[in-house]
Amino acid sequence: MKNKISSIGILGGILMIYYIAPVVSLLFWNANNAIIPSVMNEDVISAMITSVGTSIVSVSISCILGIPLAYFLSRTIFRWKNIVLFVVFLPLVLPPIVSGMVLLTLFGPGSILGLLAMSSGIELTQSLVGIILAQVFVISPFIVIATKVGFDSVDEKLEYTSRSLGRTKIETFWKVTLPLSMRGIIAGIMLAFARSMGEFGATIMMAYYPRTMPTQIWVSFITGGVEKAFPVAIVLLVSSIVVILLISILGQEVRGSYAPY
Amino acid sequence: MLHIKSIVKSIGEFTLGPIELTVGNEILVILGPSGSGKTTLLNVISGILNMDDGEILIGGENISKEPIEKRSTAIVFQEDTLFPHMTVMENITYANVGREDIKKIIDIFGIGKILDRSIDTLSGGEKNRVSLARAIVSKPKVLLLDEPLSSLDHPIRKRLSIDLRKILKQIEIPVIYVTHDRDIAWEIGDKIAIMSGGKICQIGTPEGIFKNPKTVVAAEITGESNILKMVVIKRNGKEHIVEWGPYKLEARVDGLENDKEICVCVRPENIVLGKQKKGKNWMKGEIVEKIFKGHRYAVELDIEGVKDQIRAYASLKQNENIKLEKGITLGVYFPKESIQIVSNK
Repeated sequence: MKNKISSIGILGGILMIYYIAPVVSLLFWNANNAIIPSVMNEDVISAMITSVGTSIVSVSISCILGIPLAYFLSRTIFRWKNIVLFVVFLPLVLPPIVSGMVLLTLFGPGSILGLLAMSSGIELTQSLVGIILAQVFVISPFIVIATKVGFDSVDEKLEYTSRSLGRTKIETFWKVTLPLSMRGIIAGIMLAFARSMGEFGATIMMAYYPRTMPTQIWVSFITGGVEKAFPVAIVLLVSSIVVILLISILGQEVRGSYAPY
Repeated sequence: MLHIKSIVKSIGEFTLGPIELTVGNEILVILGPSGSGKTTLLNVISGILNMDDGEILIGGENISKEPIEKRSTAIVFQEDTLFPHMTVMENITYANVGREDIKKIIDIFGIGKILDRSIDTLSGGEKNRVSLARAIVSKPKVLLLDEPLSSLDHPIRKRLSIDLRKILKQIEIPVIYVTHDRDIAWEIGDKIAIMSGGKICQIGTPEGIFKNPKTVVAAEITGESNILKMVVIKRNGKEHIVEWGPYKLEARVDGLENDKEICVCVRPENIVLGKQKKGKNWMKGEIVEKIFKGHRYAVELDIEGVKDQIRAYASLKQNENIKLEKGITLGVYFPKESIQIVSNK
């Protein structure tokens, strides 16, 4: 038994090293004191604000639209459920660049929606709206899938009990189902936020400007090579770690007050 | 008063009903084997399942189309359904009731000392008390209990079932308690309904059903029983002679024609064992098994001339007097009142 645990530990350890080593290696990369100037660079600051801001908005939109869908998928049995699930998974299996191309056909300047929006003064591409459209497409499946797992883990008898005690369906959702699904929801938000901060393929197709951090890294790379891209990458890495840690701490606070297991 | 009128619910191959039931301010125990439809019936009454046909009236009001939360039918499940993210007190006050309303219930259930505890620190018995208290605090018009004590150890279950009956009698509302455990049914029920194959096949007092089971299922679920096939050979008013292999037994069975094959139930506790005697309803049997049951012995007997094996009980004193041992032959007597006709449908 002890040997089995040791073997599992070694295999898992190899994977952990494989995750950590490149990150540490990047952090210890000889930046020639280029990190501080990178952080102070106006374009990098602007890209960071764009990435964090759009990610917050995209995750929020994904939660507002995705959590009800996850609840519906978890609690309803219907004939076409597997097809709906396949549709939810679709953005995950598409290469991000293809997702961007697909979105361009719908929201691009030559599309009906693009022209309608343009006539109302809203640009669906090359704008913050374009970035958010791309991010929501790519990250919302993480929210739907993780939240559905969370809802699946709540015994429906708890909901029936709540309703038999006089609480409505909506009250039961807020007081019982949602708190007990919080673990899945927070996992979904963390995954979605991380994915959103790093999203590049679909975003660059929808909006080269304003630049997000991944787009800024790519621009730095093609204009100045690896030497210029690395300091910006380190800034993205550190900011992503900080944001994920913040969500994680917040998640533990929420979980602690809701779900004891 | 709860009235259930001709309710029907089909789930795949299984059909519940049609069921007619009236429950006053009393405890009705629905006793039946697994898969008989007990839980489905509770789910239909509570609104968890929509019925295909029929009506449910509580206090004369038709609640058939109402959602779960409007029915005033609190349900307590077999599984632990306390809200794990709330304390005991938060669970008990969940139904939006005033604190003054709950004090009495907390005292009755003896859970005053655990109100601040989280659910995962409670024992099985404490969880059951809290679940039941929470349901009663919500002031339901009908209380539905789906085997809430079945997960407990025997001594705790026994103690809690006695307490529960006292409490349920105090609240004076219709209570339906579903179980497959006859001991719980005897402890708790004012009336017992026997359920089998989605239908209620007999309803009556615990004593009435035990003494006069109408079906094989009712006989077997309410106690140990010897189910035997006999033939009516002579009818004289209420007195009949029934044939069982070479034996012609006197029995008291109503409304039967001659030559009709019948199914009878003879309770082991009604069978008399003694020294071999000749006379009406006496047979010879050889002990093939003897089982110690604590306060008595159960003996399996091969009856001479028939293929059936029967079970009879002997007291500890009888065991000493007759020297019951495997292999000995003794007299077996079926009192004519003990031969109960039962339907095998």
